[in-house]
Amino acid sequence: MNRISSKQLAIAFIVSRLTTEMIMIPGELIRYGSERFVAILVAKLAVLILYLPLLFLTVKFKGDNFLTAAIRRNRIYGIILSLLFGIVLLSVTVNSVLNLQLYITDTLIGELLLISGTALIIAVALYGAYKGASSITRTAVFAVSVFAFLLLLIFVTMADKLDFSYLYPVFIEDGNYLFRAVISEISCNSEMLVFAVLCKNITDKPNRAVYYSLAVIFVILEIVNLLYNLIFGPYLNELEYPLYVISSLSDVVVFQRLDGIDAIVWLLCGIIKISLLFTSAGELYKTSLGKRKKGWFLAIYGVLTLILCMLIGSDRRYYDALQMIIHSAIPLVFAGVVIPLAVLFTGKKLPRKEKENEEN
Amino acid sequence: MKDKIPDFSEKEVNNTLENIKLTNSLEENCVNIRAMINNSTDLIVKPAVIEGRKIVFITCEGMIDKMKLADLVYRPLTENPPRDCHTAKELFDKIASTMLIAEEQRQLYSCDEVLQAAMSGFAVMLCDEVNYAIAIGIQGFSHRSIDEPSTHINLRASREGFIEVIRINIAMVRRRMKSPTLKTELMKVGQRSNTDICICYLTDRADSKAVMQVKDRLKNIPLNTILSSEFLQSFLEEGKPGLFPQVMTSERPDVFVSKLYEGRIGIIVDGTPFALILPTLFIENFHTMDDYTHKPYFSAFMRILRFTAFILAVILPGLYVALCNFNPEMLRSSLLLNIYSSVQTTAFPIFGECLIMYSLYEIMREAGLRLPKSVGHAVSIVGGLVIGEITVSAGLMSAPVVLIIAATGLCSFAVPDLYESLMIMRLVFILAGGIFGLFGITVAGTLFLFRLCSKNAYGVPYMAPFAPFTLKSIIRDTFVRISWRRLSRTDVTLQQLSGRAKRKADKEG
Repeated sequence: MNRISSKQLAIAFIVSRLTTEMIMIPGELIRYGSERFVAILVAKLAVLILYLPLLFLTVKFKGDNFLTAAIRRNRIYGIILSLLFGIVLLSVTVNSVLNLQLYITDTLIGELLLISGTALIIAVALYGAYKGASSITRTAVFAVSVFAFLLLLIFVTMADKLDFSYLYPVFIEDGNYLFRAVISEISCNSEMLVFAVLCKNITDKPNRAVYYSLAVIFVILEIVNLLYNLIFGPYLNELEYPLYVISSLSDVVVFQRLDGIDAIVWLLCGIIKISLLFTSAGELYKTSLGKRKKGWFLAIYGVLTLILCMLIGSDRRYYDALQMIIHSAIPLVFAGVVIPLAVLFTGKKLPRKEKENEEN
Repeated sequence: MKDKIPDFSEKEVNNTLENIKLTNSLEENCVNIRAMINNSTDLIVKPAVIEGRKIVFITCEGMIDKMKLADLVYRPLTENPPRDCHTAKELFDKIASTMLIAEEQRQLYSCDEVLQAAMSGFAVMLCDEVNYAIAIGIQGFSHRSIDEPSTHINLRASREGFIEVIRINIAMVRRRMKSPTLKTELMKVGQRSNTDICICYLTDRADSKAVMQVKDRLKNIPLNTILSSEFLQSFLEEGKPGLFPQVMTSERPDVFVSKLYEGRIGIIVDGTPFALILPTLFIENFHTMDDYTHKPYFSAFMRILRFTAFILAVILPGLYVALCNFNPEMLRSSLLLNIYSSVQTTAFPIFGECLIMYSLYEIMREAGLRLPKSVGHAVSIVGGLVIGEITVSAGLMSAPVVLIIAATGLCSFAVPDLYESLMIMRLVFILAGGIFGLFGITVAGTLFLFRLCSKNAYGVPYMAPFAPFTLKSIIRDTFVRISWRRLSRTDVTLQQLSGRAKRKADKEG
C-alpha cells in the first residue's frame, strides 16, 4: 500500500482544485464576479457539511475506507457499491480529461488532435497512478510551489493594471446566479471522491487532509477571484480562462507574456488531478476484488477512459450533457455523500483481535 | 580476428579444485595449490629446511614487500632458528608464535585460502607434517601515491583523494573520523576476482536495517569480476535501473566521512579511487565540499546557480524549439525578429537544427574525452571553429541554435554528477518540444517528476526534504545552508528526512 500523510494529500487536493479553477470558464458558471466571493464561502461551508459522512466514516472505521467497511459486511454489497462509485469516478475522470484537452487546444496547441491530446494526458496520468499515491502527492508539492510562485509573479507584473473601482457591491443581481455559482462551486470538489477511497492510505489523522485543503483552497480562490475582479471587473463573464488571459498580459524580463509558462504549470496540475482519480480507481479495484497489483486494471481503465473521451469529446452535445450532469453536483453528492452515509450505518468494523493481528 | 569481449556476467566458476583441505603432506599441498592456479608463473614457491623440517613459503610476484619478507621472515629463521622442537607441529607453532611478528597473521586450512592470501599480498608458510598454513601480512605492491582528486575539485577543502588501495583509503577515513562508532567491515565480492570491499558506517547513526540490506545485496552480487565501484552501483540501487543515480560516488575522503556522519553507508572498493555512498538524495547533486567552507550566503548563491544551470541544461533547447514552433508570441518582438531573420537563411527547420547541433556537440564531447590530449585539442579547434563558425556562415545552422546548444553544454558541466541523466533528458525535451510544443514539454516534465518522486532509497525518499516536504530540513541545508553555528545546534540524520524517526520519537514521547 502506498502510505501518505494527511498534509501530502491536502497539497494534492489543493493542486486538484486549482486545476478546476484554472480551466474554468466563468461565463458558464456565474455572470458577475463580485458574487463569487460569497459563493466561494458558502460553497466551502456546504462542502464541509457534505464531507461529514466521510469524516464520520473515517472515525468510526478507523483506518478503513467506505469500501472496506462495506465488503466486511458483505462482498457482493461492497462490489455493487464500488461499481456505483466507480461509474461516478469514471465520469468525473472523463470530464476532467476532456476539460484539460479542450484547455490545451484553446491555449497551447490549437492543432492538437483529440486522440493524441487525450491519449498523452491519460498515459502520463496512468504512469503517475502506477507509481502510486505517494509519487503523485510528492509531485503535487512541486506543482503547488511553482503555482504559488507564478501567481505571485502575475500579481507583481499586473500591479499597475489593478482597478479597485471594479469592486462592485456583491448583491446587485438576482439570487439565482449566486445559487448557480454555489452549486457549480460544490460540483468542482471531485477531491471528495479521492478522499473517500484514499483515506485508508493516510498514516496520520485523515480528517486533517480535508480541513487543511478546504481552508487553503478557500483563501487561494478568494485571492484569485479578487485578482479577476480587479482586472476584468464586469467583463469577467465574457472571458474564457481568465487567469490565462491575465498571464498573457504579464510581462517579465525574458517573456513578453507568461501565458504559455503558466499553462505548463496548470497542465501539470491537471495531470496530477487525473492521476489522483486513476489512483482512486486502482485502489477501488484492489479493495473490491482483493487484488495486490493494479497494473493491468489501470491499463484497461485507461483505454476505457480514452474510448469514452473519444465518444463524448467528438460530439459537443455529449460533452455539454456530461458537463451539465457533473456541474449539477448530483454525481458528487451521490458518490461522496449518499454511498458513505449508507456504509456508515451498514458497514462492519474489523473485530479487535483481527485488528491487533493486522497491526502486528 | 575480433577481440573477445570479456563477459563479466559469466556465472560459471571452476569448482573442481576448490575447498581442498590442507593435508600433512607438504608435497601434496604444493601440488594442489599449483594445480589450482594452473602453474601460473607469478606464484612463487620457495622451499627451505629449518631444523631438519621441510617448509615452504608461498608468495605472489609483485604483491609483497621484499624487504619486509627478508626482515620479518627469512632473517629470524636463518639467524636464530627455533631449537628443541620434537615435532613438526611444535616447530611450526613456535615459529608462528615467537618468531614471526607481522601486523596481520592468520591460520589457513585450505588450498583456496592459501591462494587467496598469497594473491592478497601475504607470505604463506607451510610445513611438512602440519595440516595448516600461516599467512603473514607483508603486503607491498606498488601503487599511486595520495594525490588531489581528478573529479570534484574544490578550492578550500582537503587536497587528498582516495587511491586504488583499499587499506590506505580506510586509513584516510579513520584519520578523519576517530570515533569508536565508525565501523569498517571487509568483504569479498566477485566470484572470480574476489575483490576486497569495505563497508563503512557509524553504528550510532546509520540505519541498521539499511546496513543489513546493503550487506545482503553485496553478498548476492552474481558478478564474477568487479573492476570498479560502479560495477556494484546497479546492484545497490532500489527498483529498476533509472536515469538518476541513487548511489553517490566520491573520490574525496572528506565528503565520504561527512556523509557517514549523516547516517549513510559508504563502500570502498579495492582497485578504484571512487567510493560509493548510499542512500543519496537528488538535492545532493548540487552540493560541493566548498559550500561548507564558503560563507552561507555565497554557498546558497552557488547552489541556486547550479540548480538553474541544471534546469537550463535540461529544458532550454526543447523550450526554444517549442516556443519558436508553437508559441512565438511569448518571446519579445525584438528577440523573435532576430531569431526569425537568422532562421530564414538556414537549410533546416529549428527542430532539425537543434537535433543535429545537439548530436554534433555530444559527438565532439565524446571524441574529445576519449582521444589523447594532443589530439583532443584538434577536436576543440574543429568543434569551435568549423562547427561553431562555419556552419553559421555557410547558412547550415542558425546562430541562436549554436548559442543555445553551447550554453546548455556549459550549464551541464555545472552539475557533473547528473551529466548522464541530463543528456537523455535534454534529448527527450527536444523531441517533446518539437512534436507537441509546450504541451510535450509538460508531459515529459511530469513523467520525469513522477519518476523522481516515486523513488525511495533504503526508506528515504529521493526528493526529500522537498517531497515529502520538511521545512526544517529545507532551510537547514538544501539550496540554502545555515551558518555553522546554527548547524551545530541541530543534529539531523538522513533517516529523519523520511519522517519515520520523527514519528517514532513522537510515539515514544
